[in-house]
Amino acid sequence: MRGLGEYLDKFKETKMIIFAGKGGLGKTTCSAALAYYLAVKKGKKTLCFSTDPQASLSDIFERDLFGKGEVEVAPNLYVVEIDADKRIRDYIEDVKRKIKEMYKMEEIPQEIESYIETSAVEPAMYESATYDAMVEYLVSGKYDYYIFDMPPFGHGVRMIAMAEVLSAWVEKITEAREKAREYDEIAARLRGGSPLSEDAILKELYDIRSRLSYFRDIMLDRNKTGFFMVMTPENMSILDTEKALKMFNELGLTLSGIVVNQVLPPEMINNPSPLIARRAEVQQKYLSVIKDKFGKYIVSVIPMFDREPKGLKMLEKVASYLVENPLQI
Amino acid sequence: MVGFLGKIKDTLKEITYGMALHSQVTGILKTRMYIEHLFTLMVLGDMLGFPVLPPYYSLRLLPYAIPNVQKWKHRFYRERDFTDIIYG
Amino acid sequence: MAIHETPFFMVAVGLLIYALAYWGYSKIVDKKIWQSDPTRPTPAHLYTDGVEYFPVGRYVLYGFQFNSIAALGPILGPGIALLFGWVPAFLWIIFAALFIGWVQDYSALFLSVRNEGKSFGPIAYSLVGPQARTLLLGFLLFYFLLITAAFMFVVIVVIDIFPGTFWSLLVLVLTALLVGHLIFNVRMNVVTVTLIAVVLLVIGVAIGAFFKWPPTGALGKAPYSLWIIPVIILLVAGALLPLPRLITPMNYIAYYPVIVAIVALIVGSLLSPLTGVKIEQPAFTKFYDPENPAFFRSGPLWPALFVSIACGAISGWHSLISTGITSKQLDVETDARPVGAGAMLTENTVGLTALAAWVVLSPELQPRVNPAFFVKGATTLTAPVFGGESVVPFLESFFAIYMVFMAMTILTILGRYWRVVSAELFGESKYSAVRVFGNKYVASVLGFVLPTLFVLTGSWINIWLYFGGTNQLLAGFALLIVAVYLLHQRKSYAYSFIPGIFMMVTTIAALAYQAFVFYDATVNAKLLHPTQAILRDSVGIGAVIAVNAFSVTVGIIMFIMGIVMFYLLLRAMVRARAMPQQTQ
Repeated sequence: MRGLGEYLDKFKETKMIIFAGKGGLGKTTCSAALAYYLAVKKGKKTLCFSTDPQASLSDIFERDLFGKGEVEVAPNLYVVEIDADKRIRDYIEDVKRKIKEMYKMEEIPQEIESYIETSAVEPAMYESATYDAMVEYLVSGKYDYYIFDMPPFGHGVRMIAMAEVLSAWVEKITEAREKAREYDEIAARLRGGSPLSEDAILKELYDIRSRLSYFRDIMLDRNKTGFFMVMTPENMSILDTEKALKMFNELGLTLSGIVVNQVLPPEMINNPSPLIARRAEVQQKYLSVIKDKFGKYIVSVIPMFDREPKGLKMLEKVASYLVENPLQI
Repeated sequence: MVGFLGKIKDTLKEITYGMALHSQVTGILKTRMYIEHLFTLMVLGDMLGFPVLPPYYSLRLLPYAIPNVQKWKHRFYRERDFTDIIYG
Repeated sequence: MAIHETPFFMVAVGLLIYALAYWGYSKIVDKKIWQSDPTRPTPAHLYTDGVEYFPVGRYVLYGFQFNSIAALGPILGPGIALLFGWVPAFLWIIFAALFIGWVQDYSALFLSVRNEGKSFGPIAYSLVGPQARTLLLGFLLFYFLLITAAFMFVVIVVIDIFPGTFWSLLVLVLTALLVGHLIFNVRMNVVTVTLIAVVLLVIGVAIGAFFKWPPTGALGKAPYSLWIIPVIILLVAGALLPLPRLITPMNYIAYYPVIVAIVALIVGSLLSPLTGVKIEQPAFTKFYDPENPAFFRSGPLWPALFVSIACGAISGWHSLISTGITSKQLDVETDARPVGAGAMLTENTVGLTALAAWVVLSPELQPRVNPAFFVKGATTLTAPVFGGESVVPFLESFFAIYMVFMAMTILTILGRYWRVVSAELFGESKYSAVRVFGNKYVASVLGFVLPTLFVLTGSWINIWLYFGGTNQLLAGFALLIVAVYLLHQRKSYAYSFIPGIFMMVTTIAALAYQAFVFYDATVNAKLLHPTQAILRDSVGIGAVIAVNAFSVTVGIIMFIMGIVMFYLLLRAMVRARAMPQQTQ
């Protein structure tokens, strides 16, 4: 076990690294640490993107990043903590403005207005908005590395399934639209009319489609994307990880590795504090289960620190465990 | 006289178009309409409680579907039966 | 040669009467009864959707309406009517043209225009009641079954007598596929495509004229049952392929020979005093002659004559087109007359020229025996105009193709309709056994196999009169529904009510008689027609009985439907009278 560094050496084309797993296990810390390592140590332009509404990137980098867009927190290290609610609001205002402009309306018709408003509060909107932001950054291609801290809902993996479903729908709509246009054109020609102007809807659809397929293609390309699960030596986490692994397989994704976090060093068994000794003992038990079950996936083990990992100094420490010198178990 | 002949020519042209091509064109428009329906349904499906596309993306397409909303509703709620589909 | 011995006479008199109908009677009805108002917005303007509802100029719409209503009806009916002599046939055609035919087309159109452009079904629902609509659906399914049977019969007998036609038909189908491809995939200019299509069609006609293979009789005694197989294959393919791939291009290119044929027949009849072509068929025969099997099969002059000349006089099909499509595209109310009445009177003209083609047949060719004899008549009528003996094979091939095209274009539409309606009726059923009928392959094949049972009876007169009966019955419905509406509006309705009653009574009687003929053949295990011997010899008398029994069943069903509908319509009249006036 030689850390994430080994992975990065092996997969040189990697563009995107995704950390998935339940909230509170140190996903965000891992993302930030890896981004820090790539940007500061390797000099690569790196974006760290968090969707966690509990917004821990702001905590880790000790400044308010929430909803501020791309912020450079260290040389080459850019951080985004998305404010999905605000994004939705902006987006909706945009749609409304567009409608008013397109049809020269003062007011949007009542039924359309209320349709938009109800759509806005649907839970799926939140996911979509986050997801769309991810795609937007990725498609822009401005960075050497993209580190995504997946939202905690549905293990984050749902995002990927969503990409598939979405692409399929957009594909269908585009197809229908193209056909409609074809018929239009033929009808116009039979009538002896002039050819039609370009179809704005099709343009829009092509745009959505190309973004989605770009994202999906990268996601499914083992050489470009790494998926890492973050877990802790606890029974709940083991069960969750098993489930997630199954889901990965079903989606046709490859899990690149597992990072075990918050591990008490084995010598803690002898700690005078019975509480700590007991905790360490239990952890050892679960660690052996983890080795059994996920042995080949484990790339890194990160110890539990004496305080919350905050600030660049701490990140450097986490990164060294994560990338270069993992704790040996 | 030229005007009169021109008028006859136009009339004959229109009759010929009506006999030969009009049903083709309406047939094509109908097929097109069904596709357009599909599009509107996918974009605005959940207006009728039939969600298809995630709302985020349907909102992006919504502005384009607005002119169809009225037509579509009229067609959707209009009574249609077997006597409406003689030519497809 | 006296001028009244030529077809010129009847066509000239007919045209005069038609002019009277158009510029006289229909104008009065338009002004006094419907009070057409050019400022009142039509459904085309009120509900414009650019697809079904949109205003279309009157000439375009006239052309469309005529093309949609023109089929084999006006061509074939007069042939059977000649059983009673040409004078009764002629009188019925001009009488119907004056008082009944356009009345239905035009009034149904106006009725729909004044009712939000609704189609026949919804109008029947709102004016007569829910049962009327259900009944109408059932009725239409049988109606389409019978049209399909009649037209399939025509296609195969024409091919049987003029085998070259089958190869011309293949050329048409291939040309249609090519045209579909050129318009949709290659995006070629319409004019160029049309030129290519016309050239190919001319080649098709030439092939039909010289490549007469297999020769008549070579298929043994069962030509009908053999030819029907390739024809059904073509039709099923048409029902399954997307509309713009085969059906619409086929309708489009078939239009050219059709219009040429119509013009040729009009020219041929009008020039007959110069060309010397004379009326050869008898002017009168008998009202009824029970000793004569042909009379027995058709029944007496009343009601048989009035259902045999179908679309050339009046046809229910037209009201479906008027209310289903045309009413949604009428630009202004004052266009209803040129479009509805104008197209129908043009169709009447086609019927008249078809009669002209039939009457010049020499008496030993009995028109009622075989619809393909029309080709001979049309050739006789027109050959002297186009160059005499030398063009006969070419003209024969041309008119044979004309008939087959007319039939095939309607058949493909019906096949498709049958498939779509079956999918709606059966496709959603709870029972998988029923759902099978909604399957598109099953429905498409079944849509042609059921009518084949009629074709196998081999008795042209009976098939045609069944078809004519249902067709005119539908026209009767339309006329009476118009009367119900006018009564609601407290307007004079007699002009529609009286022909409506006449059509209902006549057609119900005709259907009853035809059912009786089939019943007689069934219970006495008789051959209804010499061709049934083929079926008897190959399968057995049981098959003949089964086929005839099937026809009895259909006849009884149509009869009952007719009676119930008649009752519902009369009830609606009584209720309309009792109700306070509706505001428009």
